[in-house]
Amino acid sequence: MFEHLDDPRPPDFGPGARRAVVGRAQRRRRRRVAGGLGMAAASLVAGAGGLYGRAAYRASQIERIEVAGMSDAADGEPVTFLVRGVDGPRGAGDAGGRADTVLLARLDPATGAASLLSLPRDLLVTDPATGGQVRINGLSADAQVAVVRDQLGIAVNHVAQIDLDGFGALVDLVGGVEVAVPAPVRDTHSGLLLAQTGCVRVDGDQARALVRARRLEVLDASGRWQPGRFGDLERTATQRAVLVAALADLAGRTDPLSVDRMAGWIRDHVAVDDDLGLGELTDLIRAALAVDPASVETAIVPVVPAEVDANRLVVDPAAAPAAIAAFSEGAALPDGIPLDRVVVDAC
Amino acid sequence: MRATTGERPSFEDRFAPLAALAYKVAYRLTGDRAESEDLAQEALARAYLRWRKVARYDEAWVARVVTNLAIGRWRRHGRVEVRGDWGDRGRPAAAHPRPDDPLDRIEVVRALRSLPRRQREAVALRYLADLPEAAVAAHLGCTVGAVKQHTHRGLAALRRADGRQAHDEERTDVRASR
Repeated sequence: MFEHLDDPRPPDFGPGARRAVVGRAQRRRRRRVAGGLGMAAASLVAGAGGLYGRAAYRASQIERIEVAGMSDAADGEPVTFLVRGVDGPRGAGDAGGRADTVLLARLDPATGAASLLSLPRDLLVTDPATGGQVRINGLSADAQVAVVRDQLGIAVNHVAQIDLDGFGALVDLVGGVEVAVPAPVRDTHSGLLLAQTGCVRVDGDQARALVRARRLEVLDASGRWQPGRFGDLERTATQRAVLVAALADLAGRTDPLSVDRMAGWIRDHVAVDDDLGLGELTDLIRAALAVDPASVETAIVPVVPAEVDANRLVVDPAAAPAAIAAFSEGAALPDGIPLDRVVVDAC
Repeated sequence: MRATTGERPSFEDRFAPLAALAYKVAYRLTGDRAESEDLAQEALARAYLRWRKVARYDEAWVARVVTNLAIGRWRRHGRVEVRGDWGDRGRPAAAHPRPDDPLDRIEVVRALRSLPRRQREAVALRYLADLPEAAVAAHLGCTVGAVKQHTHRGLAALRRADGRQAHDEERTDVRASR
């Protein structure tokens, strides 16, 4: 129906055009991989101002998703993001897709205070569309915003969606992170093996395997590999340990090089909602990098096993309100649910 | 025999048709050759970097990305870069489209921008990229029925926003798809 808008003589896309495209892609990949050295050299030449400009340009290329039901945050006021780690590309076509990870991130640009509140994947909530009980991770971004607002009482200002590779890439961006491994752990499906205990450095692939693995095995005292029987809470805790370690590494790096690399990561792996202005985004990146990692408050929203299904979780009516209130005010979060076992812990 | 069935097609083999598709979508939105070539290049470069993931729904993926890129540029510039020709090349940039155009580019972009995401993507994939309903459904992860509904509502909203009567072509199209 739009044939009338067509170019009557479209160009020919032959091998020359293909080489140009591949060249463009490879220059970008090289830029991404070369990272440090090239950028350091460039910063000597271009000076800091140019790099901040580049970071802003990179941020301007970020993918966008349309999300409804968010509330506006006033200028300079704390901002709450719904962060979705999705099981595929981050792009607009997948804003309805499943989210492997759902967490709320609150950043107060004025004070530098930051809090992360994880919502377990197996958390049962009321589907706003049907009224039925569903796991939160199957809901679209729109529905999750509504659930967080209406059922948890937390207003979401923006949504960020991170693709399948984003988590591992973030870990690689900081050159790997150190986590505490209480017992040797492996996953024969992904080839993951952490044989050493204590503080161990893991790379992006290992970090991703740790949080995604469904069949982790743990080496017991007799030297046999036993099924880990880790549930969603342990998985969420692992994810938090890795995330906090990565953030700790990033924090304080407000130099242009780090800002640029962070902006590059965001461009390659993150989609944000349409309503987030470019200036606001750049300011938030800088504010986030300036956060003191030791002061970041993290918790899993208090939950109890669901009556209908012990493998599902529901919000703990006794403990959750205090945690939610503390999160909303940027106050210290109460200690979370004590876990009997962890895959890895903060180092 | 090159590839057996089920094997992923190579980027090299798919480049020409995908680039032509990306250019078509970009040109329908921008009307500018240089801009459209650049948008098509950008979309294809992104596809190249993620080819393993893109290959399955390459046409829909490329069409979606180039649509979003074109609309995104419009967003940043605050207007569509309508410098190009409208079929007869002599016209100045600011010329109005031909009177028989059911919707001109600016209206299409503006109307697409105002649609909810699913409707926008369904309309873009179905009518800007001219992909079959089944391919649109596969890429959007919904049923063919849902695609029909999205495109039907999308087109209706597009016309309402435009205040125009439905173009005969569209009318038969919607009827035929019921």
